[in-house]
Amino acid sequence: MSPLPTEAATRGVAVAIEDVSKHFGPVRAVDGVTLSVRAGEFLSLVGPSGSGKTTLLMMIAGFDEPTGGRFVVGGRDITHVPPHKRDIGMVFQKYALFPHLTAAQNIAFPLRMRGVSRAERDRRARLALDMVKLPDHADRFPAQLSGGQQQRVALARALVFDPQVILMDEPLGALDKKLRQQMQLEIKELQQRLGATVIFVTHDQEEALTMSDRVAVMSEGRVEQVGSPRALYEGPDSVFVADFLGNMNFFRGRLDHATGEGCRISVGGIGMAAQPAAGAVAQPGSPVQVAVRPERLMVSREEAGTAGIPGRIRQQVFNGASLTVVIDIADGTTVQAAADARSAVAELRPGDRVAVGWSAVDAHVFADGLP
Amino acid sequence: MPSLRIRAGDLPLRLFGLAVLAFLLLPTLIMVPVSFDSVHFIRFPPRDFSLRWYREYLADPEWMAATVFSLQIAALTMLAATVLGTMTAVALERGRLPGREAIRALLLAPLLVPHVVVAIAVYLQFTPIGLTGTTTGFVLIHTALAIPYVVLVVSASLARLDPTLDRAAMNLGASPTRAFFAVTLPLIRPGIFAAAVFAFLSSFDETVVAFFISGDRHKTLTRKMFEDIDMNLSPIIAAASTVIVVVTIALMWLGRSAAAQVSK
Ligand SMILES: Nc1ncnc2c1ncn2[C@@H]1O[C@H](COP(=O)(O)OP(=O)(O)OP(=O)(O)O)[C@@H](O)[C@H]1O
Ligand SMILES: [Mg+2]
Repeated sequence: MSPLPTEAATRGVAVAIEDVSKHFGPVRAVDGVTLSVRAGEFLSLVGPSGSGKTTLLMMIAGFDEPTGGRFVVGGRDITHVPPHKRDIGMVFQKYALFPHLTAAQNIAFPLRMRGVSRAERDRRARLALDMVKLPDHADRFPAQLSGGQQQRVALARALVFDPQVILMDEPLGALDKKLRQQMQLEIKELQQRLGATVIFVTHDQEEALTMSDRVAVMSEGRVEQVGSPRALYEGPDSVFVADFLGNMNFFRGRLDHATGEGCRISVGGIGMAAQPAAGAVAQPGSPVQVAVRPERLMVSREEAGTAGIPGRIRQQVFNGASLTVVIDIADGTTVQAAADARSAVAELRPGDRVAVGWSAVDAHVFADGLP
Repeated sequence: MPSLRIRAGDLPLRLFGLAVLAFLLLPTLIMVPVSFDSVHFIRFPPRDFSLRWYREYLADPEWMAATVFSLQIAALTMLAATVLGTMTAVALERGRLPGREAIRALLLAPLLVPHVVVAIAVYLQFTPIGLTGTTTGFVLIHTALAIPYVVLVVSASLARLDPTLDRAAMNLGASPTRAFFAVTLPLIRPGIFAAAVFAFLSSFDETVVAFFISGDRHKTLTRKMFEDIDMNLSPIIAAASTVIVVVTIALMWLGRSAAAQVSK
């Protein structure tokens, strides 16, 4: 038996998901997903409801067989290995703690299944309880633990047998915001300390951005884009990803001309600089969408000679750390800009005329497929 | 679970409830005082108190043989029906067998078919192969009749159990069989216990089939009572009835407290 993770060197292994599909009749829950997760990496799967995240995770855990493709974990093809022989830990959304066993017995369960001696089980369950900061709760039953404590026990139970990979399906979904943020930090810290490979499903894109080494954005059973949180946030490949992660403004315009690096577009007749997104951009003259983050939008009072797209302040919302201004621009689109609450933007009042602009690197141009 | 709340002021409703209860229970309970009378015929209300008929009941080898026989087949039926019914319920609730609704309907059929129909059919089948009046014959048919109860009760416990617990157990290294014994079984144990009580009682109280397939040497308590009613209606029947009622109520109470534990 390998020692407790706290004593172990990195044991997380690489996971290769190769062209995996799962079709339920006509429904393509997962549709040709290829992803490689590195050893010791924290990878999040995000995507709208029904995009296939849970289905993919269940197949990795072995509860469902893919209709196509294969999984290779640590060099071993596990596509047809039954779940109990996969050596993959899982934290379920509702924890799935065994109600008839105490916290310590729950944690010792995977060790018992592996024939670890009683004394050794007790010792490792204790260490695992220490690791999740619950040393005094060994003899409590799940019903006697709070949501956050149950979550920790579930985490300890998934870690204690030192699995090759750990899967988590919205493990923090049931917790309130404060506790959620605290657990995010704790999980991340544990994962780094143990060098565990984690595949983490979440609805909460902010959570994915803060916790992950890389994020995979799924839509309709496919992976739209994979990359570091920063790369995804700052360089979305598609309108879908741009829209899905964080807040995003979209301007309608036309492509004037594209060079290797940047491009020129016009929005409502005003020429602006931008850069084409990785997905190929349309021919000059064709309609495009320009995506700019609210915090990258530059707003100034419109005076004679000010460059930028003209607009009018509709509303100003104060939200603590920052200030959001809502602006109607000429063609009827509404955009939002986030600004420091003490900047000059704060002086603007509803009805004021403004000019909206951006730095070329912050504006991503996509072909406009929409009507 | 939604519950009907009755306000203390609803007197008519309470009276109605009591009336229904009396209607259901009185015919059964009337036998209890009668069994303590001392005269050798049944009269109501009884006029004195004696244990005479209990003494006679206990001293009569035929009554004792029937009682022991009934208890014996009820115990064996309980064992067989509980094991088979639990396995069936698990297969129905957790398995991936095709046509499981049809199988479920078929299994529950004995609850709907009149017992007398079953009794005649069984009588016709059992006579040529010599199964009438045998423990094996009784246990076979009583098990078939008890399985639906077990399937219903255990299925209900399983349906309440979160299926992700099974998955969690397997994920943590338990084979499906071990997951069943380490997780599912302990969690549905109260349901199984209640089902076992039902199975025992369904055999112990069973009358119609027993009437047909009892033999001269091996007859159930219920069959023996029928015979006595025909021959001499003595208060010993009241004593035997009281024994049945007491056993039934005691076991129901046990079963209920087990079921209460399930829903806790
Ligand atoms: N057993 C099934 N039979 C038929 N369709 C299914 C089955 N399981 C899932 N699906 C379908 O597959 C698609 C993906 O479902 P899945 O649960 O993987 O989504 P998800 O990304 O986890 O969504 P959520 O964020 O809401 O949890 C959905 O359209 C769903 O309806
Ligand atoms: Mg899901």
